[in-house]
Amino acid sequence: MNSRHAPPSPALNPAGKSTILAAEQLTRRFGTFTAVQALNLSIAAGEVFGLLGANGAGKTTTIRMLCGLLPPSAGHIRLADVDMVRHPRRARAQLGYVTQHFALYGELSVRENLVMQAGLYGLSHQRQQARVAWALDVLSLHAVADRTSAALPLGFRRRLDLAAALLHEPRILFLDEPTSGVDPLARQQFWELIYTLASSGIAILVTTHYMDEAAYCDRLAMMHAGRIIAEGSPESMLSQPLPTPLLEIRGPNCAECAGWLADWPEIQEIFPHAGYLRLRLKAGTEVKPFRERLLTQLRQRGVQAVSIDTAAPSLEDIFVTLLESDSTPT
Amino acid sequence: MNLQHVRAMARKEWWHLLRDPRSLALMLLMPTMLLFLFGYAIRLDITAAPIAIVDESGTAASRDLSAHFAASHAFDVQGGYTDRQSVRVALQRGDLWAALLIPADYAPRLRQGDARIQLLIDGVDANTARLMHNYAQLLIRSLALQASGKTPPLQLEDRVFFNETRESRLAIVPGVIALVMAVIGALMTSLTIAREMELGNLVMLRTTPLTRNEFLLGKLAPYFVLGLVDLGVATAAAVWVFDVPLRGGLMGLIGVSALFLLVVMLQGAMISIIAGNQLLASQIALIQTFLPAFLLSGFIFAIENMPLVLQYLTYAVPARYYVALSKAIFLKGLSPLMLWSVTLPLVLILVVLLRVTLVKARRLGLLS
Repeated sequence: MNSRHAPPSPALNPAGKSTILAAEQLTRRFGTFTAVQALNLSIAAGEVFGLLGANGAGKTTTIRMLCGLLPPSAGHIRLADVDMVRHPRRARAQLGYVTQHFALYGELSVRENLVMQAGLYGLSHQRQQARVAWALDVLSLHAVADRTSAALPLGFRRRLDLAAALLHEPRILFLDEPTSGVDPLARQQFWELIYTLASSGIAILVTTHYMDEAAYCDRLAMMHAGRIIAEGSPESMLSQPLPTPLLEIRGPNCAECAGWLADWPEIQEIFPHAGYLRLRLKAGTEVKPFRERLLTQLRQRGVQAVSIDTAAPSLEDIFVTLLESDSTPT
Repeated sequence: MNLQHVRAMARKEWWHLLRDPRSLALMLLMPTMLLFLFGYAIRLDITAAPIAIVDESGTAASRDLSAHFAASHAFDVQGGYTDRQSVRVALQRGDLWAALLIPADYAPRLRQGDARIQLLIDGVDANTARLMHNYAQLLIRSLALQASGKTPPLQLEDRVFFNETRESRLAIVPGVIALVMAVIGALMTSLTIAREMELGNLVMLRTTPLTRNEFLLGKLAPYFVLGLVDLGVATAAAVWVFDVPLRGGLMGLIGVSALFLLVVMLQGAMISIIAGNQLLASQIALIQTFLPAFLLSGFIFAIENMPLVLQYLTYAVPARYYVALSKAIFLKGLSPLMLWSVTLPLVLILVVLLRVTLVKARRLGLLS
């Protein structure tokens, strides 16, 4: 796990790992509306790839095309060297898909759901037994194996979903918002599982709207209006200077300043937090003179400020900035 | 077609069935219930119809006539009615279904060969009224022959085959089995696919290598087995409880029933896919299978007596062929001609339904 948090090499695919999924110029139109536009994407074995974007950005359409659920209007998808569009059956044997909502059978027990799923993937009887036992083990579902699935807490059901998608040993796993609605502890466990799986060589594509989770991915792609607007490792994204500088004012009663600061033309956005105020300045603002002016104002108004520092951007800041620059035509 | 996929689907469906006591009970109890309900409730013949005899003549001849009616199993002569007025009231109230009036001059006129008696019949139920009329007619005719003291120049010697005692029960029970098969087959399957569409399980199935043919086969297989179990239950009840003979042999019955079961199950599956939700599907299934099987199959109402348009319509009702087959197998035994003339249309319907269902199944979004 520690090695995952070390900055990965700038080469997108870890050395020696083969590309599992490659999408080229992937496009999907619904009538005159283009949901996904000329998308290029590649994921290597053992890589955790995060697809980010607001609702309607085209994440779900993309994932549905990649899973073979939706034929693309144009473009190619190769999954483990199988052409997804031409040989969907062979491609499907290579992928596991965990949908956003529980899609297994609630009336059946955990074990029955797994046995059925193993059968649907054509596993032999012996293999079924072995794989179901493995899945119950790895996903800690033994204790609830004979309980009715619908009666289980959400965290267990998500794990059952994951177990069902892994029985046939897919080479890539698609996780559509796997942790939405799951409590923080279960989320943590879920991510540890994802790392374990990835380290065994499975490629993983995950969509999420939790920005803190995005940081766990090896590589990210941010989607907006059907296109990828930024791509790279979280570290490389974070290390790029933000066009809109960030300042943090720390002090016991700095929250009061939010009122009068709102009128300042240089400020794009103010985020009040407990004990500090975060300011995002407009692109091109000189930080130094601004900081001086701010200090003077604070002193004049008698606000005690402990510090005013430039802040490191979070992925969320980067995402918001990217969206702004994408939607303002230049 | 990967048989393992089919097996996985069928096993899952079987678990579902066992897990849902309501549908299982419906499948296992309904045939017996329907059989008993129809077997006992539907009577196309009458026994012990309450009748009063108002004997104004009071002679040996009139008492002889009364005795004939009293001896008939069709009528149950009620005492205590002595005048026309009380009989009218009793008919009105429904205490009596019919009343026989023997006028005071019955005996002398009988000697002259010109006797008239009157039968008052409650005609609210036209069928019963007609039956009572026919029974009374028969009684009077035989009595008249006796009275004339000579044999008529022309006589009908009839011998009824297949249903020797002419009990309508014997014809109804095989018909009920057809009804049971139609309802179980179509109603249950109409729910099953719609449920997957409604609950979103299809989303998961779509990402698996399962094809739509495997899906359909796996989904329907358990219902096919249950349908045959139902057939067994219904047949056992027919033979042992209702004393219906099984002259055509069990194998013939099973073979023909399996064919019919396939037809109605495909009907249910097609409805399920087109409707897409359970409520609508079950309603359509009821209208499309139960009602035609009940009304247009010749089960109760003879097809020959229907208006021409309806008669043509019955050709599209699978139950029509099965009712004919079932009656024939139980009561007569199958002749090869009968077998072919009736199974061929069923096979034809099966092929058409299969084609339509497979085309409609594309909307499930599973692999082809």
